[in-house]
Parts: sequence; C-alpha cells; structure tokens
Amino acid sequence: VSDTTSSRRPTGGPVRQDLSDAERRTRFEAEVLPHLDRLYSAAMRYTRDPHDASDLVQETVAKAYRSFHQYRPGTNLKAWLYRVLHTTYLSMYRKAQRRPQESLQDEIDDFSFYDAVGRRGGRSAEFEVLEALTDDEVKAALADLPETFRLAVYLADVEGFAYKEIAEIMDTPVGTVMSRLHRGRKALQKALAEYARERGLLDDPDDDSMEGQR
Amino acid sequence: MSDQSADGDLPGPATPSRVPARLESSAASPECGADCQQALAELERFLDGELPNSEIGRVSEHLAACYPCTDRATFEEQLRAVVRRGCVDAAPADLVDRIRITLDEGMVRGGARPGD
Repeated sequence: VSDTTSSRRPTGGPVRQDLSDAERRTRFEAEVLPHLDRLYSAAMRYTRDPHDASDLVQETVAKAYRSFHQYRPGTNLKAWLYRVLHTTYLSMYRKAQRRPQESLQDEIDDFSFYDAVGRRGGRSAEFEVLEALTDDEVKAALADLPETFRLAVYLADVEGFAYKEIAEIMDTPVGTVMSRLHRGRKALQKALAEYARERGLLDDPDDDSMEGQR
Repeated sequence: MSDQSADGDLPGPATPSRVPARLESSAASPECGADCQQALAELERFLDGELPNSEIGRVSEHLAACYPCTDRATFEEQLRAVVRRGCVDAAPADLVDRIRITLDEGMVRGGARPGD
C-alpha cells in the first residue's frame, strides 16, 4: 500500500490525481465494492423498489468513481459514499416526484411502543413482542414512514451514523436531524405496534379498561 | 462477493450495549420521579451515543439504580437491534457485473480527460 500522505499538501488540489487510472480503479474496487450490499440495502430503503435500488446503486458507484479523487483518504469513506448516494437519489428521483414534504401527526410524540406492550403486563412480555417481529414487518413499517423521517431513522439505527454525519449526508441542520429521528422513531414504533396488534401480540388500546384489571 | 459479506458484514454498528447492568444492591425500584423523568428525557441521545461526556454519568448511574428505566432503555436498544437486523438486503448478483461494466466505461472516459 503506497501511502501518499507525506506528499499531500493543502493546495486544494484533488488528493488522488497522482494515481494512474489503473491504480485508481484498483483502489476504488478494493475500498468501495465491499460496501455494495450495504449500499443496496440503503438504496432499498430510499427507493423501496428492487429495480430502482439497483439503478441507484449503479449510478452512485459511477458518480463516486468519477469523484473519487475528491475523497480524502483517512476520512470517513462510508459517510462520503452515503452522501453521494443521497445526492444521487435526489437527482434521480426527487425531481420526478415533486411531492410536497410529508409530515407526521403531532400526537406521534406521545406514542411509546414500550408502554403499549407494558399494558399487557407480565415481565419480559415486551421483549417477546420484539422478538416476534419479522424482517418483512420491519421493512414495511420503515417503508411507510415519510421520506425524510425514514432516511434519518435508517441512517442512525441501521447504519449507525452520528447526528453530525446524518446532517452532512442529508444536508440539513443537526437539530432537524434530531427531531426527524425522534419523531421518525416514534412513528416506526407505532407502525410496528400495529403489526404486533394485528397478530394478537398486543391488546387493542380500546379494550384497555375491559379485561384483566379491576 | 455479495454472498460472503451478506453474513460476515453485519449491518450497522456492532456497539456494545450502552445500558448498564442494574446494581444488585438497588433491588427496590424507586417510584418514577424527577430523576426518572430527567433520565428518560435524555435516553434517546444517551442510546445514540450523542450525550456529552459530562452528562453520560448521570444517566448511566440512574439506569443502574432504577429497574423500570433500565427495562425501558433495554427495550429501546433492542428495538433498534430488531430494526437493524430487519433491514438487510443482499445486492442482486448481476449488480456487481453491471458496476464493473460501468467502471470500465468510466475508465475510458476518465482516461480521455486531460486532468480534471
């Protein structure tokens, strides 16, 4: 591995211009292609369609390759890739949709999956409900969230990005990220609780006072 | 390559639990009070690892001493694990091939550029 750190200078010039095309290609494949499954999973959450997700990943990788000289070795490659993914998504799909920005209801702030399960009583009941949730239900619940909330929750809870990194990926202030995360998680919990309820794992909230107690 | 990494490279951060084990000596759970409310208000940032160092101790000490709050925190943490686990998709087999072709094309284009 040839490290060019010593020759790097703050000239503002691209870091990897000195690489030959073949070297660049090799580096790129070695560093970026291992992220492919993850990028595809992310693209599935972005587009919610396998075909679109493939197109998005392909275009993202092409774009990343073209601008790979701008990536600074030693900085967070994954965050850089997701930034490229995000902007690529916006240019490929957002333009076409022109949907008004969706929001979540105010009441969502009061929802707690934990409390909804707890009503049922019994130690560890809540963890049994969690274990019972299927991957398909998780994906569907996430897919139903409005876009900006869905992406914030995905980037934090699945990819493990810090608030600041999400803010950079989504090009939005950190405070906005925090509120999208908070409300997005609540909405996700509500959707998951709904699936649990449909399967009889949770009591209907309307039956609250009927059975069991008093 | 997608085959191996699908399992080997688990999604998300392999962070150890941030929720401390409850102290045995504090078996008697306090009633939910001001301490609980304060800890729960900071729980999300705590679990996200975004709480300033100066505030981590307070939350983590409270959790260690309070069963109901620990239970809630563990639930929230496990819920995130369920979400993380549920959001894995393996890239289709032909995607790598498509990407290699794209890169080949990019190389031709890239080679033709003067020095952009």
